[in-house]
Parts: sequence; C-alpha cells; structure tokens
Amino acid sequence: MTRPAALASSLPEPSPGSRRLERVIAHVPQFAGALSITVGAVVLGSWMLAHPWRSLLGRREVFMVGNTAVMSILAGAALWLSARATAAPRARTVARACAVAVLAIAGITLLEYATDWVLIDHWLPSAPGPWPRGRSSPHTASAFVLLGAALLLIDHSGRGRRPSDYLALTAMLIGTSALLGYLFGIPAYGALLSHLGMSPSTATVVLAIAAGVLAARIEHGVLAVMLARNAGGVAARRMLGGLSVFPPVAIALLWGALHWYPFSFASALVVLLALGGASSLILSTARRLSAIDNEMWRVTRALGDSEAHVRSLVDGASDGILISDLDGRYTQVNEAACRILGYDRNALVGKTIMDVLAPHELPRLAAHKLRLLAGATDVSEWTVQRGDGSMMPIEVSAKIFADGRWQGIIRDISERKRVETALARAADTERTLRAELEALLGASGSVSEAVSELAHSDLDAVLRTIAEQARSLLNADYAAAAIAGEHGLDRWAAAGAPELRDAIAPSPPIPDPSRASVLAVPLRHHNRELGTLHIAVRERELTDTERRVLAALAERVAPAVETAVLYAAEARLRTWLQSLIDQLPEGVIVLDEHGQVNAMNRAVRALALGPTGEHDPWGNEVVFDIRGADQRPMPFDDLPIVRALRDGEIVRDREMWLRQPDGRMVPVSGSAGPVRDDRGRLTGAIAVVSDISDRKEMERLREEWTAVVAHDLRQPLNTILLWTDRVQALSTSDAQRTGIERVRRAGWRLNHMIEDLLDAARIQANQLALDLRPLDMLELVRTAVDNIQVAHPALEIDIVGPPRELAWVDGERIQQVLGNLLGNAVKYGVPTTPIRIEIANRDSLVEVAVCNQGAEIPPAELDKLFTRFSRTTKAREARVPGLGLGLYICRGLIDAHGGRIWAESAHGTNAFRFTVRRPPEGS
Amino acid sequence: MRDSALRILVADDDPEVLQDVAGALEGMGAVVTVAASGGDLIEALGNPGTAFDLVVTDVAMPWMTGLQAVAATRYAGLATPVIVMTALRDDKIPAQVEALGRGAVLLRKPFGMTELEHAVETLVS
Repeated sequence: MTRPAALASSLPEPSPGSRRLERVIAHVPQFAGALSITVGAVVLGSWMLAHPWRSLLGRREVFMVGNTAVMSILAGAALWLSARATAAPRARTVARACAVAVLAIAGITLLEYATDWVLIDHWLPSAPGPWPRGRSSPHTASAFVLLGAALLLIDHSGRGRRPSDYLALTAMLIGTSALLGYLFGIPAYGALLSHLGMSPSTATVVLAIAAGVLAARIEHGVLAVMLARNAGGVAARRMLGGLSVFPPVAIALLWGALHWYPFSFASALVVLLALGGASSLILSTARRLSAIDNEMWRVTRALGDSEAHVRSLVDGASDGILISDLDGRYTQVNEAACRILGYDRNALVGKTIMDVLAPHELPRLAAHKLRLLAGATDVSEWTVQRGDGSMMPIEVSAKIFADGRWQGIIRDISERKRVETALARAADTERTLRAELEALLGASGSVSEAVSELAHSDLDAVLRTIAEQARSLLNADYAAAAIAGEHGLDRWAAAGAPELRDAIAPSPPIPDPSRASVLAVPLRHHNRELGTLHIAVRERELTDTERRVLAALAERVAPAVETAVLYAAEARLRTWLQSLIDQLPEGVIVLDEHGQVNAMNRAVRALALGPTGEHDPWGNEVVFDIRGADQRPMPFDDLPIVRALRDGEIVRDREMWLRQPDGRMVPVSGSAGPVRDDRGRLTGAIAVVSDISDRKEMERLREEWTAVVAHDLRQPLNTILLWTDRVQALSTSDAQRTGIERVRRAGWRLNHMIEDLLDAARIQANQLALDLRPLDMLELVRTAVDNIQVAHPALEIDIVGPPRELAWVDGERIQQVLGNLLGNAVKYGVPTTPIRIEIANRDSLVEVAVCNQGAEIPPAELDKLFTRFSRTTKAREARVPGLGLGLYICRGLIDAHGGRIWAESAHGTNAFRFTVRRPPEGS
Repeated sequence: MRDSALRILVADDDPEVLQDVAGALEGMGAVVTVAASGGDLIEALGNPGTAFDLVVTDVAMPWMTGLQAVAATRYAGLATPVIVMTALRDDKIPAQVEALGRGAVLLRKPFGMTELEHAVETLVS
C-alpha cells in the first residue's frame, strides 16, 4: 500500500546524514534474515547429523533447541523475502506462510507450557543432556510469537503507526533481557523459568530479526520517526544516540564492580554519569529544537506575509475570484468578482452559482459540475445576470480544491464577445463584398473591352454595354446609361424591358410607379458629372447592397465613359479638322513624331502620283514624285518636311515641282515646320504645299511682258543711237557736236536704266540664268578695268592679286558686277585718288574687293545699300544720277552665284567685297 | 579695206530698224540688200544670182526667227558670216549664236555706229 502523494509531500525531507543511514539500514533486513537462516541451519544440521560441533551445543552460550532453529530459519526466510516493500506477490505469499508457521510453532510451544500437553516436542531428533528434546523456552516462544506476528503484519500501517514495529520492539526487549541476564549472571533475565531460558544465540537471532522487521519499512513507524527531519526525528536521533552510549558504559562499570570495586561505588558512578549525560543530551537537544522552532516561526511568519500578499493580489486582480464552501455558497469573493457580478461583497457572499447565472444557463450546469467532480478544471463561457438585472457574458475557470471547496475565476468577456461578433460580421461583410467586387470586376471589364474597341464601335455601344452589365449584375428588369449633354441627357442606351423606360425617363410620366422600383446613380469622374446610370426592377424593392453595387459600378465605369466621351469628342474634332484641312486650298501633310503620315488633305492628294509600291525611309508609301527647282528628283534628306521633322528647321516657300502621272510638271511652293507640344517637344511636322502654276504663269507673263517692253524700248533707242553717231559724224560746228553727244549719252543712260530694271525684275522673279564656267578672276577684273578706263582714261586703278585665280562664274555677269562697283567708286570716290582692286584666295572661295577713298558710309546704311531703289543720303544730296538698282542687282547676281556681297567703311576708305565659288572638281 | 564694196544682207521685221541699219551700213560704203522676214532672208541667200559677204539679221521676226533662218542656210551649206542683232535678253540667245560657229557675232540692241563697225570689222577682216 502506497501513501497518498499529497501526504508524502507534507513530510519533511530526510537530511543527507539520515540518507546515508537509510542506505545502511536498507541492508539490515536481508542481513538479519541471512544471519537467522545461517544460525538456524547450522544448529539444526548439527543436531540432525550428530556433527562433532554438537558438543558445542552443550555449552550454554550457543545452545539452541531444534524447534527454535526451525523457527529461526522460517523467520529469517520470511524476513529475507519481505525485506523489500516491492517484493513479488509469490515471494510475499511464501513470506506470509513462513511467518504463519513461526507463529504456529511458537504459539503451540506456549500452549504446551500452559497445558502440559506435548504436541511438537519430539518431531525433531532429540538433544543430548537433560533438555526436552525440541521445545523452545517460554522466552523464545514468546519472542517468536511476537516476531511471527510482526512478520505477518509487516506491511500493515495506519495513521503513521505500525503494529509490527511494536511487536518487534517487544521481541527485542525479550532478547535484550536474555542477553543482560547472561551478562550479569541473572538467570531470571535469561530464563523466565529456572531451568529454561533463551540461549545467547537465540537472543541474537531474535534481536537480528526484530531489527530487520524495523528496518524493512523505514518510511513507516518507528524508524520513520527517527529518520524524519522534523523536530521529533532530531530529538529521537539525539536522545537515542546519546542513550546508546549509556548502557555499554553502565554495563562496563557495573561489571567492573563484580571484580575490582564495590557495587555502591559503581552504582553512584552510573547515577552520576546518567545524570550528567542525560542533562547534556537534553540541553543540546533543546538548543537544536529551539533553532528548529525559530526557523519554523520565521517560515510561518513569511508564510503569513506571503498569504497577505496573495490576498492583496487576489483582491487587486482584474479577474473575479470566488471561493465557495462545500455547499456552493460563496465565502470569499474579491473586488473584481463583485464588480463583474454587480453586487457588493456582503450581498455576494452567501449566494450560489444558481443565484447569479442567467436563467437560460441553468440546464447546462449539471454537466459542468460532473466534470469538476471528476477532478478536471472546467473552463467555459456563461451568461450571468448581474445585480442590476443586466446580462453579461463571462468566462469561468472552475475547480474543486482537495478540501472540497470550490473556486471560480471569472472574467468579463463582453468586450471580447463584442469583438468576436464584430469580427464575424466583418468576415461576412468581406465575403459579400468580395463576391460583389468579383461581379463588378467582370462588369467593368466588359465595359473596358467595349471602350478598347471604340475604334470599331461608338459611344452608344459603350453605353449599351454599361446598361447590359448593370442589368445582369443587379438582375434588374431594365437598365439605362445616359450621358449628359448641353440639353440634358442627350445620349441614351438601355437594356431590358422597354416599357420600363418610362419609369426612369422624366418624361413621359411614370405609368405605374407603384409597380417598379427605380434607382439612379450619377456617373461621376473627377467630380464632374458625366451622366447617370439607372435601373428599374418590377414588384420588389432594391436592397442596400444593390444600391451600393450600382454606385460602385457607376464609379468604376465612369472613367470608361469619360474615355468614350473624350474619344468621341476627339473623333469629332478629328473629322472636323480633316474636313477643315480638306477644304483648304493648300495641300497639307501632317507627320507624327516617327515620320508616319498622320493626315493628308484632298488638295495634296490631288497632286499625288498615286500608289508606287515604294516606301520612304520612314515607312510611308511614296506617292509623290518631288523635283527640285531644276526639275531633277529631290533627295529625301532635302525635302522640307524631312528637314522640319529631323532638324526642327522651318522651311518657307521652297519652289519645287511635282511630276504628275501624265508626266506634266506642276510647280509648287513647299513650306514645312516642326510641330511642338506645350513643353517644346517635337511631336511631328506639318508641310503646306501650294500649287503655284498660276503664279508661275503670271510670272511668265510678266517676264514676257517685261521682255517685250524692254525689246520695244530698245528698238527706238537703237534708232536714236545709230543716228546720233551718224549725225555727229556729219556735224560741222562744236555746238552741234556737243548737243549730239549729250543726246548720245542720254540714250546710253536710258539703255542702262532699261537693262537695270530688267535685271532687277529677273532677280526679283528668281529667273536669272547663269552660264557658269571656270574663269580667271584677274582677267575678268582687267577687262572691267579696261572698259571703265575707256570712259575715264585718267582713272588710276591698282589691281592686287594672284594670277590664274579661277572662279566658277558667268563672266558677263561678273563683268556687270565689277563695272557697277567700279562705276560707284568713280561716282562716289574722292576724285584723283586711286581705286584699288584686291583679289584674294579664301579657301573654297575667291574674294574680290573694290576699295576707294570716300565719304564714310554710316554703319546703319551699309546693309541698306543692297536693297532696291536705295541710295545713300549723300548720293541723294549730291544728286548723283542712278535708279538705286545697281547694288541690288549686284547682290542678286552674286547670290545667284552662291556667293556673298557686303560693304565696309572705315578710316575714309569704302570697300565693296564679294565672294564667289571656285570651280567644282573635274569641271 | 576691200577693193569692192561689201554686199550685206540685212533682215529685220521692223521697217524703221531695217532702214536705220541699212542706212548705217550703206554709210559705211556697203551695198545693202534688205529682207523683212526670216523667209525673205532664206530666199535672198538662196538666190543663185546673188552673193553676200555678210548677213545682219534680227532674231525676233514673225514665222521664222533670224537664228532659225541662218541655221537653215548653214544647214544648206552656206557659211556667210552673220551679225545677229537682238533687243531681247533671252539667256539662250548667246549660246545659240555661239553654236553658229566662228562666223557669227551677237550684237545687242541698242547699238551705235561704233559697235556696228566693230562687229562688221570682226567678221569681214
């Protein structure tokens, strides 16, 4: 039988010293058992085999009768087998049988003494001498009765006491008295009756078995008390330890009195020693017990503190704590419990769980009570009815203490319940919303698809898609999407029962409003109302969810509607622009930033060659045969629109030709410029092409007319000049010759004016034609100088420059320029100062300068000199003859040569410089 | 100068210019025959009974220009030197005159006696 665990834990722990003692004591039962068996067996064997050792048996000290030897063996075996509390059941049974046998033999022996019956004296071989053959002495029998009973009851114990301990101790007393009897020669101690006693060997066996019985179960009984760590154990160990010294000393002293000193001396000495030893033992034990007692007080006080602490913790706990008595009435409650249950402490104490639970919870109570009674801790949720009658959800953790009281820890879980409810609702909502969102995504996806196909459909198709999606999403009978225009909702698309349209449209009035439920939400994008989305359902009400879904759909499709509206507007604008540019008389071509043709109007298409199957470097089909001013095909890189898009260049009024399918050349003027966005980025280019056939024709007519006029003017001039020469030759007087000479000069001046006007007209019309050849500039200059010197023989002209400086020029025109510049130098230069002509090599150009001393020309007038009919202030004031076309014509001629002409004036020297190109390679 | 007078054929559709030029040449001592058109010029040159030392012709004449007429006679094998007069400033004319070869000079109207005499001397000397 094992002790309850709770009880074990309440016992003090053994000290390390007593542990060692325990280990030694643990071996005692087996040792004692073995000793008994050995002694019994040797004696019995000697008896039965008549061994020479038998003579030894005659000695009083070792004498042991046969029955005693048998009991020794049986008791030793019983002790050996039950030495361990954990012995096997069979061993335990055999041990009990042995114990019963010992009890029986000893009991029968005592009966024999009481009744003079001889029952078992002769069942063993007889012993020599006067001794009854096998009967044990009354002492021995008594001791073995006690030992047999002790061995039989070895495992019995109750309330910390053990019967076998007392039985063994009594047997031990008998054994000890026998030994003392031998020691002091007092037969009465050794044998109760004069002729029968307990032999020393038997006494030893008895003591050994008794000690073995005590040691066999040290956790119980006497040894448990001795080995305990508590005050009792300490006192027992000290006192017994001290006392164990006293008997040997006393025995030795008393024994000494038999031989060396009087007995009275020994008695006094023993009393003195006993008093001194006992006093010092009691004092030292008392000190030790005081120390233990003090420690106990300290621990008790600490326990008290800790309990107070726990109590304050309990009172301060946020969880309610309730303790009830065996009947379930609350005896202790903390503040939290009062707060949660809504009672004051006095009201709550004395109530039971039945009083605070909500009535509907009562049926559940029985099952939970059963679980608690089974030893489990029950954690469960309940609804309580508080003192004020309100209901509150709580969590209860309940259990029953070992002493039968109930404890409940309660917690207000109304917040948790609220959160759980909210969470559950949120999960529900999330599920619903997810489903709605998926439906919405599907619907808005369809709308997006419709928008992406806008190029093939139109705004109405988008609206129809939205209406259909709204109708199927909400399972409505009718749906309509409308776009707001200037005059209300001007674009409609509807899906579903057409008769319900009246339920939505503001006019005509709703025929039967009671039968349809109508909902309209605005289609709004960036706070701008684009239109409305309507649905109508028959014979039911629209739910909040449906309203929300429709609003969400409207919100999601609004960007698509905005896109569609913008797209439609953009398409309208594009059509409008296309028709606008189509109606332009000029041809217009618009390229995007990649050079792709974006737009091309009717006027320019009219000039196209038609499909050629060829493509330009930008991937556009070549539909024009564009020629330069010389009517030769124009390189792609030279085209005005290419320069505009590639270089951002603005090209104005470039004259070109477009070859027509019939081979006819149409003169056109092309202008092109880059198109830039707000931030100045190039986004394309635009070219404007005008058919200038009419202008060309006009120019041709004007040229023709100019030529005719000039021609017709020259004919009479020819007559005048021929006849003045002839008349001059016939003149007889100087006066006549002078007059005729003036007519002749006037004629030639008139001729010059006609030539200048004609040249100026050609320059303006861009119709100068040059006969370019490689010519020596020095030669040209010399010829010009020779010509002017015909009229002005006294003129001093210096020519500076390298010979054979070839230029790519029309000789006659360069002569004209040089003549003009030299004429000006003569007209405006300081008379009698030399004119200087410089020819210089300037890389690929030949530069010629005509310099003369003259009045300085203001810088502001320098550039104006080259404009038409321009004359310097000085020239006008000095009434120098001329139309003011000379330098204009010079510039026109030099420009036509691809050169440049300019004037410089500084330090009284005026220089007119021009450059012309060198001949091209291989010319 | 030559022993005999120069025989010069002058062609111009403008009668006044024709007379002026013819008169000027006669004043220089030449025997002048006149033609009023390109056709007349070809006819006069083609007449086997006459031979000319010099042809002086205007360019712009109805039906056939002076240049065309001269080109036609050159094609026919006649290499009579020619002075091509013109009041036109057509850029092609100088090249066309040049194409007629060494026996041809261009004389732009208006011109005086100096220019005329210089042109005649250039061709006849």
